[in-house]
Amino acid sequence: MSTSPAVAATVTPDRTNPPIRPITDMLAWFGELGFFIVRVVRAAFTPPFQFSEFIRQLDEVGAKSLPLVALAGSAIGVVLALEARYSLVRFGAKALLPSAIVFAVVTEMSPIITGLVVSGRVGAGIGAELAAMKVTEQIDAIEASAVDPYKLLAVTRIAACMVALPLLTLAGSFCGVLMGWVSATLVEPISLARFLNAGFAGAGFKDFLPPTLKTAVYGLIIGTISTFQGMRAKGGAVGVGGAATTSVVLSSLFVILADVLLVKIILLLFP
Amino acid sequence: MSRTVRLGAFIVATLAVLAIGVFIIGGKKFLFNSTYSLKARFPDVAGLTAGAEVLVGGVHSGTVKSIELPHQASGQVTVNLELDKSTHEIIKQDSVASIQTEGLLGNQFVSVSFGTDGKPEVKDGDTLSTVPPLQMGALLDKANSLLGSAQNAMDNITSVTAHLNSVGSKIDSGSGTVGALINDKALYSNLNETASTARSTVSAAQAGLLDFQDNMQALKHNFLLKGYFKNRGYEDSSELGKDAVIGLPKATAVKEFTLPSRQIFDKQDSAKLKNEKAFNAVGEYLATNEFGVAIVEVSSGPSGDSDKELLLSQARAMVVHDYIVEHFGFDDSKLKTTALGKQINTTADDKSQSGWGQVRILIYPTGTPMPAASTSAPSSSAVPAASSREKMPQ
Amino acid sequence: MPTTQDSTDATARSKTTNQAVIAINNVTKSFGPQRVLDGVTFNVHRGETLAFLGRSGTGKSVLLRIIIGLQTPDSGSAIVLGTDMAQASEEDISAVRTQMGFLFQHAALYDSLTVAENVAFPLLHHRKDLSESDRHDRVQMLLNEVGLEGHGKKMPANISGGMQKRVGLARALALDPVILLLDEPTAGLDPISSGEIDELILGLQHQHQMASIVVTHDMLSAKTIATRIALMNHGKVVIEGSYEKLQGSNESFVSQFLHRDS
Repeated sequence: MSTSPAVAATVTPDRTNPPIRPITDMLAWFGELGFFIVRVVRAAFTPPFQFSEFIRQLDEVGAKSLPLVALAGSAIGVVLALEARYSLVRFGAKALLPSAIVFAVVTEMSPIITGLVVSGRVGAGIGAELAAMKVTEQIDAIEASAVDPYKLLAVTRIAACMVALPLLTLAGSFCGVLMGWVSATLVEPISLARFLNAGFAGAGFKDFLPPTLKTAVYGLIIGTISTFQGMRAKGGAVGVGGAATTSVVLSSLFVILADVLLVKIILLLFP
Repeated sequence: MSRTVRLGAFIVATLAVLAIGVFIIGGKKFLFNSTYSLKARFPDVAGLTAGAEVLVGGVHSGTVKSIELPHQASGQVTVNLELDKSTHEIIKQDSVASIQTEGLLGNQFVSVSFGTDGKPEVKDGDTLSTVPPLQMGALLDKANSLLGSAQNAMDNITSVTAHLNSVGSKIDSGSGTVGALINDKALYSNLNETASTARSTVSAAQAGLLDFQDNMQALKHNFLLKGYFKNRGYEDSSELGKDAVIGLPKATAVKEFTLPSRQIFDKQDSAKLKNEKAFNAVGEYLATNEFGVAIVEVSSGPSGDSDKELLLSQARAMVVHDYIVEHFGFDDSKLKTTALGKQINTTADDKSQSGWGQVRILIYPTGTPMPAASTSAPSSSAVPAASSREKMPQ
Repeated sequence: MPTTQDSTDATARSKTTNQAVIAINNVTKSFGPQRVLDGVTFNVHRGETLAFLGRSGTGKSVLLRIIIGLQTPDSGSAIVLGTDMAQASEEDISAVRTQMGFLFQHAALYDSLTVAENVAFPLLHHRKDLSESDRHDRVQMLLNEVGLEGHGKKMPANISGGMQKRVGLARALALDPVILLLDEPTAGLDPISSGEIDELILGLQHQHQMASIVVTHDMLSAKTIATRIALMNHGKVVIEGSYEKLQGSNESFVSQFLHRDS
């Protein structure tokens, strides 16, 4: 299913979807999320597997998010190049500029920026789309057709997010490094080869692969939360808008929290 | 663009980025070249980490694979290096591995020197010889103490400069003699006149002195006055210091002759020789043996006027020196004199009977450096005059 | 398990079995304090169309959802094609569902798919034996049946309500079901369109001889398409029978219902 955009711009936040209210609501939310995850896991590991739908979603989440991620990554690269230069020159460490840009982009900026950008676009998209389907009984129709909506809708989207995020992060890193070079070379010419050489000097796989792959966890978070919020939406247009908003907010929040945890874990595992 | 094409392009493009990243990083780690391993042992690796670069001749040619601590406290840290196969030809058994720092505070890396052609090659797994790394801490300590000394020096210079400054300012303001000298024109013209006067006086005096000396020489040979000179033992005061040296050489004497002055000299206050034969042994020894330098050392007894005794010692030394030189054949220039003058601390030496002092002739082996000549001329001669030595008629 | 059925065999089928396809027995269902179904019992056989009427907001739609297993009753049994939908496993429920077609109140078309793709949806998932061209042919045939030939490439958002219901019907019939459940088929349609839908349903029933249950508040529609009508009030079936039987009833409730538009 291609993304149908979320509904009204003036959405009153979650009358129908917790959790902004008291603790019990929050706990209930976590409880429902737990049940949801159990159903999804069961659906994920039993046939039939909705492979063509997964491919469709991969295109939707991945290929269609690419321009946005590339833009964000490029912006990050440019900004880093300009800011870092200023700081490094003050310490007489201008030669460290390529390294600073490459490391910052690849290990942290590209993953987190890609995560948040996709959180916004895809989180809102999936949340709204599934919520709209729920309120128009389309999910019931799927179920009435003897097709498991968890397999068809949830698993495919979550899996697509998990696969797409690392790929998008790679694209973001690429654009960040490239535009970082462009930005640096416009101030003080340096060849691309030399920039890359200096930038990756002392770099190891542990600086490149774990940060890129940790975005798969982001994808898991974004897919799960937005699918969950969508499939339990109630109440027409308000419900759809609320689902979209809370999907974005909660996905972004959990992505950032996960980043903190993951950075720590990566440092532990790959000293 | 159809959906499948777009998706396919997306996946291919991003995987290509992954591949590029892997190649760039892997290339730096020489993953894709064939490599071989070497070990290097250090007592301390000064913060080197695994993954650090290995430079051969300054070119990045490998990485530090791992670093292992020894199993015993007496052991060394083993650094396992992985090197590109291309270095096989230049790293030999006599190559040396060292740990260096990029710049002053940068990363540590391992540097391997070239071996020499012809030396045997290293095999996979060999151990290289090493030099321990420079500890930045030690270097800083040195620099610290250097700075401390420099600081002291600076402080001293500062105070000296301050002094000079004050003196200079005083001079400038005309205070003190020098100030007056520098600033007072009247004084200058005065001095000028005085100087020219002095010059003429001096030349007059010189002329007068020459005359005087001639007279004195004549007098010396006058029979009425002859006795005086004869009794004192020498004629010419101005010759007293001609062979003097400032002190004994540091080396050990190979031979020493000690003669009490009482046995040699005529009177307690004269330098006239009495018993010349006492010097035969000395003279023969000097004539027949190789020696570097010989010193005639004369000392006086504990009593008497210090200046007079010193003069006496000098005279006596000269007399002894001249006698030996005249009567025995050896290199004259190797025999020197030194006068000690009054010796207050009398040793319980029965040779210096009744406090006349003694004469020592010390002979030093070949190669002993000559002590410096004494510049303290006897007090009686102030103006250099050309006078010939005259022999005392015996 | 999808059976390979040809629509032309429908008439033959109706003769081979006389068993109740749907057997509802003493079903109760409450939502909070409100009891929407209170001991409902009925049977439906092939070739029958049972219409449920009652005030809006009663448990009529809930009844349909119980029959297809989207909701479970608090008590009682709902035995469909031999399977108790209240108790059965996922697998068994799935198997029964492939023999049922459900037309939702607002058609519930998948709005990201075209009309043809909507109709093809059940075929894609349950008739994997069909080649792409066969599937295409079948979709065309179904669209023809509901009078929508040529509209296959349109998006659901771009067609009228009546057309949406037709697409919904075509989709419901895709697997040649034994049972057809219709939730307010004429809701929101103008009288002429309603009449057209009624005619269509009648024709399809004639052709396929399914066991149909229609939930509606439209008496005229019920009169047209149903073989039996059941009137519900307060969760109970007040009266069940032919239209004539209802006409003969003395209950005011029934009279009110019957005579709204007269």
